Amino acid sequence: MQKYVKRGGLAIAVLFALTAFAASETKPGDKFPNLAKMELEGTIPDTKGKVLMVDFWASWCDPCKRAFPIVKELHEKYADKGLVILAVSLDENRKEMQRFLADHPVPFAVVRDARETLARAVRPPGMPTTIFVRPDGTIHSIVSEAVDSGFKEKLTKMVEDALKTLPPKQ
Amino acid sequence: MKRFTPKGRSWLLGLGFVALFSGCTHVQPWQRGTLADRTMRADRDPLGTAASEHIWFSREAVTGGRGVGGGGCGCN
Repeated sequence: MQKYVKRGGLAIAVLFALTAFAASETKPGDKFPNLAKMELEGTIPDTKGKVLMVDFWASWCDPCKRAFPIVKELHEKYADKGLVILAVSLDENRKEMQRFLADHPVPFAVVRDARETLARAVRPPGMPTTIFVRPDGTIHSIVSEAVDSGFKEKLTKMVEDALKTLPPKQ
Repeated sequence: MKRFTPKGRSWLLGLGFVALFSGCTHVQPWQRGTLADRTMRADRDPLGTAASEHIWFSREAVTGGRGVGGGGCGCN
């Protein structure tokens, strides 16, 4: 009987190990996926030679909606300094996303990851998740925290740090 | 009924585990739209909540303790 318990335990351990392996998240330093290959709905902005800030959000996610005005402010402040913001909606329902955007228009690009190709490639650890991508395509930093009073300061600092990776102007 | 051999039993046990665990899945953070729906909230009906509170208080002489979350998007 002990032998079967051991084998059963081993089977469970293997299953859990496989699950853990499958669920590995993206880390700073990793290469960010090529957006052109991600089957996203919408227009992807030109990010060549710029810092890309990818904001994963959804209309059903209240903290994501609370973060939107902050993202908007960052766009207004840093767009001309080399920051490109791309909001990636993970709404299953396109109409819900469109309804939210009609009520809260944003000046930055918004795409929908309808097939979850980007989400599966990046595996954002929570909602919202913000990823900063250096001009060379590697991930500079990932912010996936509660949208509380310190969120704006944290995100602003991340933007300023990420912008330091821009090549010096000639 | 013929008894299983030890090897057969271990296969059966293994298959049982596979069958049990294949039903488990981790709902990813970006897939929690349905969980975030209002209908998934335990306190979506204020009148129903008040009635439950009243019944609990009357029968058990207790109140509160309903702060445990259920459903929701589990967002940051």
